[in-house]
Amino acid sequence: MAAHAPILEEVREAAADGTPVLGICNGAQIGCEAGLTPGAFTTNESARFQCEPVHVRVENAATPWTAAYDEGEVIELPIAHGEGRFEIADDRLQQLEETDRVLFRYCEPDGEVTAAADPNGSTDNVAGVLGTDDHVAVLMPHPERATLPDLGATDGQGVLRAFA
Amino acid sequence: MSAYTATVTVRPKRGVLDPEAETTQRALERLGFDLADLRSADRFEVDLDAADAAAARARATEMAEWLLANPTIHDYDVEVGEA
Repeated sequence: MAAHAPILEEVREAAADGTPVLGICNGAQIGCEAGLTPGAFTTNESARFQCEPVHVRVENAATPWTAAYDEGEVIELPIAHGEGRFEIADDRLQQLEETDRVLFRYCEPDGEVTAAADPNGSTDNVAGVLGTDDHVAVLMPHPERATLPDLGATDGQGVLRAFA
Repeated sequence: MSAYTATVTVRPKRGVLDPEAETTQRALERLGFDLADLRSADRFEVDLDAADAAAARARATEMAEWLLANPTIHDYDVEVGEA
């Protein structure tokens, strides 16, 4: 619904002009619905709201969002969503892989991508994807909730550095 | 212009997981109901004035494409009747 709110036109224009645009959680759902990024986020496999820390692997470190990390690096971020399952048509998924548009994948603490490490049933464990341009991205986990030592986690700082 | 009601039914595409349906089915079975399968769908009833049924259908289809359904994960169908 929010994908058709008037403000999205301005977001679209800003993105086209090169402004970094990051959609987190509900913002990720909106980014996909608005067509800024491919795919869709829908009801968790559990059909429940889930709030827990997860591990994600950096799949593409050559973007503003992941420049602070190494490719393959595993970071811990919190999730808090009921509709975070990434879905996309098979041919478009293949296209995503071929063009290196997958930003993060849910994984085990050691980096292995397994079905058990996928908290919500996302296709291919996808936790975050890039738009056509690298400066447009969405992800379901919350990097902004993992930026202060007092909160117990700081792994998300690197993502937000893209705005600095 | 005549008054029509367009009914738009939106459901998960074939092959797309439907956790709400699975949860509902499990709950029904837990209550002792016997069933083979269950699918969920959203149904929207849109009252509108249009020149004819085809025009009403065209407008409701546009609504489905734009907002009521997400083409990445949903299929939809539109039925039009006189209100």
